[in-house]
Amino acid sequence: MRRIISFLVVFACGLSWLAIETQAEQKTSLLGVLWPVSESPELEAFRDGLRELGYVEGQNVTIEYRFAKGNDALLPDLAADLVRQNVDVIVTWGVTAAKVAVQATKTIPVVNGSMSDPVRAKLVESLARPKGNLTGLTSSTPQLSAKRVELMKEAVPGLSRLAVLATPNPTARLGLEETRAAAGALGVAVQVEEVDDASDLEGAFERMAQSKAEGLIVLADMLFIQNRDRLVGLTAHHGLPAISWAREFVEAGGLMSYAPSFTDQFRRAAGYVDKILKGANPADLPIERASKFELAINLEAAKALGLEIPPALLARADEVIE
Amino acid sequence: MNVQLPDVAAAPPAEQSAQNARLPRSRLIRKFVLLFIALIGGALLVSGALELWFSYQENKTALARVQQEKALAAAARIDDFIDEITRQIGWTTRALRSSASLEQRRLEYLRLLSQAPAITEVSHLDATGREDLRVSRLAVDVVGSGADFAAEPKFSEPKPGKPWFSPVYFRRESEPYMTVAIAGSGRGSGVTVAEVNLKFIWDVISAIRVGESGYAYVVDSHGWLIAHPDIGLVLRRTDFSSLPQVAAALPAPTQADSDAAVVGEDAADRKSVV
Repeated sequence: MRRIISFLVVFACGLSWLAIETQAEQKTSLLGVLWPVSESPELEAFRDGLRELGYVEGQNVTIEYRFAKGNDALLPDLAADLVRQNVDVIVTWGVTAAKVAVQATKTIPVVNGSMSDPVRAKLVESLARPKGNLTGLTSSTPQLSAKRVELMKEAVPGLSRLAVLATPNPTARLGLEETRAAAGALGVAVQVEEVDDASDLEGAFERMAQSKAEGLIVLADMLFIQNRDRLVGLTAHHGLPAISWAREFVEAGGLMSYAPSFTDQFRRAAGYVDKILKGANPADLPIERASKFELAINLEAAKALGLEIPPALLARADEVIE
Repeated sequence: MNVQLPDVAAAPPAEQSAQNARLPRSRLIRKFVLLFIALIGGALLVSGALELWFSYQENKTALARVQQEKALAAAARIDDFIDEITRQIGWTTRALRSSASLEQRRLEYLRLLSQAPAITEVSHLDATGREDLRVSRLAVDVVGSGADFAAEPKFSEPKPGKPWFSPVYFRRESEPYMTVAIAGSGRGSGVTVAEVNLKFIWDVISAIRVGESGYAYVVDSHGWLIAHPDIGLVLRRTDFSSLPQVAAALPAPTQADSDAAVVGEDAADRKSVV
């Protein structure tokens, strides 16, 4: 009798262990997306990346979305909300949102698909060993500023006066430094228009027109993605050829963009999330640099501006929208 | 377990003599049966063990062969990757005569960049080893910098029809790069130098799976990791030269990095292919 009882006890223990095991495997992860703009192709690419790794939204992963829609002032509250939800990982975009996220939590891992220079922004110790709860990929966006000046000069022969649309955010500040240096080297005068929000855009464009700017560089700020249609409308209205840091600008009808492929980066960011959900420590996951860069040109916009895009520029383009 | 044997001592005394007569024979049979069982059992056990050992050895060699094949396939794919890039640079240099203007050359180089995403920078050294053109994805293009590379292998090593490959080096601390230099076909047509980002072979490497937990990785001729499914190890510049299988695969330091295939286990005890 005693034997039978002890056998039953062992059997029951085994069964419950098995049940716990299977439950653990079916546990759904909770991701928090702290998104500086509205729903965008980058977010879709991130979900694609998750799907490729076997995460299906609603089945084994739940995603909480918080959209700041271009208004950085909303980010702290949205981040605090995600922290209260106790999400497993926070996914975000841009150095501003990254800063907000690591201020909101020191324990929840933060994966950033594209941030300009986290070392300079003092968010991580080094790219190879971040040492905190933030990891992901960099964008090299400010470093591409010089390249954008060059491309602009190529698109607009005899360019002598260049307007720069900036905001007070650190990435744009960094981009501004690089832009000034490159323009100086190429003998182009620079006129900076700094805006705080979308309502300043009209005034900025009026001033650019008054000082007869011949080209425009749009620096990196989520504001310019969120308000791309308005921006494209203003460049068309003032007949100002412009190059942006985001492909969305060209897709909305803007002339040019030169940037890392953000969709490619967010697909890779899903890999970071996967590793963290499987137990990796974000402090040990090195931050990857951008490696795929894309030049997009909208020929329809060029035609409307009366610009003839030279063959050297077309040879360089990765995407030509006709 | 206790085997219940007939209790001899308990037999009634009347049958004692008859029992005594039968006793030695039954003992003999018992001994005989036991011996028989032991012999057959032993033989079966030994043959079973032998079979197990042989099949284990066989499986091990089969597994090793599979891994070796995968490693060779990986090496072939990396070779293809480098070959393809070399071919593309070759076409570009052939399309340009030595009399080509800088503008023509720049256009061809830009086409090369858009065809080969792994190339980050292309430059041209003239017949005296001075750089007259540099086209880049990241930095502003430079015409006529005049920087002197005459003493460097990227100028002196490549011969017509024989490209030169640099050892793998790391840019900005974390990204593995390789320089490919190809001499122009005509006399005095200089050298075309391309900087190739080897991060692009990561996608090739990550796709190679060996069984459930096996994977492939690539080291350069010094044992530095250049591709691994866990890119973090590459970005942190991990030295694998102390792993025995890597040490065995690394021959003379001049040999190309991707020709050896060796099977071993890494620190995490997972099978790996070099």
